Amino acid sequence: MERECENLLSYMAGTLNEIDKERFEAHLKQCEACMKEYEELSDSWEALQFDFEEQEVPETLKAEVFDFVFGEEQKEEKTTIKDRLKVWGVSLKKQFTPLSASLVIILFAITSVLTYTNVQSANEQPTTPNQPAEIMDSLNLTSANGQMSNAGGYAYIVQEEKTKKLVVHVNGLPKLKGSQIYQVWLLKDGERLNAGIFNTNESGSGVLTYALSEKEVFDQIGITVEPDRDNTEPEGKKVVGS
Amino acid sequence: MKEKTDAELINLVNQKYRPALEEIYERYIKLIYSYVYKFSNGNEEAAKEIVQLTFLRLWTTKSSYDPSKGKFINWLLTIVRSVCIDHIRKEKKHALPNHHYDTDRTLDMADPEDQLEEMLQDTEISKAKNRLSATQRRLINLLYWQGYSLTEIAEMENAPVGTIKSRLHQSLKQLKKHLELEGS
Repeated sequence: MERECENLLSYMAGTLNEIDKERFEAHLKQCEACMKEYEELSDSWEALQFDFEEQEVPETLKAEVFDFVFGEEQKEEKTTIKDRLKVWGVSLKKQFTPLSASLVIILFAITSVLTYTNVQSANEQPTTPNQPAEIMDSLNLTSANGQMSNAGGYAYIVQEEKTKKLVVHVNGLPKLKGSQIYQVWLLKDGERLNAGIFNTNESGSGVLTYALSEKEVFDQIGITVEPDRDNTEPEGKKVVGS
Repeated sequence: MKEKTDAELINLVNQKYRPALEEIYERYIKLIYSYVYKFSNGNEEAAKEIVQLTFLRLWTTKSSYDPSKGKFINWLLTIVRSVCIDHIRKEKKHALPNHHYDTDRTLDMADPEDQLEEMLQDTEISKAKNRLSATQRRLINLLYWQGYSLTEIAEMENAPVGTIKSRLHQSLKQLKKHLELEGS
């Protein structure tokens, strides 16, 4: 008697696990002794299954059984939708290795931080005080007209971040009436360039700012009194100059 | 459905045709329920659960009945018994922490078991079974109706597995002889 033959009774009784069961079934096909024994025992075994008394079946049983079977099935269908979502989630997960997933998360975090700080600094910019303007050059302006001997002032070239400005500050110039206006001229190699117009206030002082291009240079500044504001060449008399 | 054979019904059930499963129910519920009732030792609630699980297994099983391999009833009851075994094994796992408890339960059940046997005296199998010794009957019941493994029975009976095995072989062979005598 082989070792495998020992399992005959357990096989009949259904107490073997799947692996042992399959192994014994294979054995049974080729072991004559077991086959003979099996046939002999299975008659009584099958007779045993009728060793019970007839029972009255409860009337509610059918409904309970079918509710259970088809209720279970519906549950299974419901879970298949859930399962599908799960599968979808898992397959999405599979697209990312832990490394790439963490890289994506890190990059996302960095981007968020940078975006946030960028937005923050953009918000702060108007409130941050301007870089102190740096005076690159200053010119003393003096009266060029005997009638206005008190006239004088300063011209500054101011570097403010990337823009260069000419600031002209004069005083002692009477406030002009009507269309008359003070005009600032930049002299370079005998050429005159209109640098803007201004008027003075009641106390005789006035300010003009003029944006200079990066490479713009000039030799002298002159301020004239012009009859109106649209001149390209000075027509009036010079009152102040450098 | 009424004119279909059992094998045809199972084929239809395999194809998920619900009326076929209902027809199986109509034809065999008395057999199945009575069998399960005995297996669950007269516990109606457990019997109901097992019947439900049996029909769920019939509905979801991939295996079909092959008439050349024996009677439909044997095929059916093999499935029913396997559901019973699974069920009581699961219950045991949940409820019983050790084998001593198993032994106690078996002793407790000895009385109702005897009463039931008295009621079964009319049938051929019970007559044949009654000719066996009390020990032989007990061993057969432990193995067939209570689903214990040979190792478990050996522990309960305080005997080596080999001894239990040969006693059972012998008991079943003797039962067969008695059955043949009863039948003739």
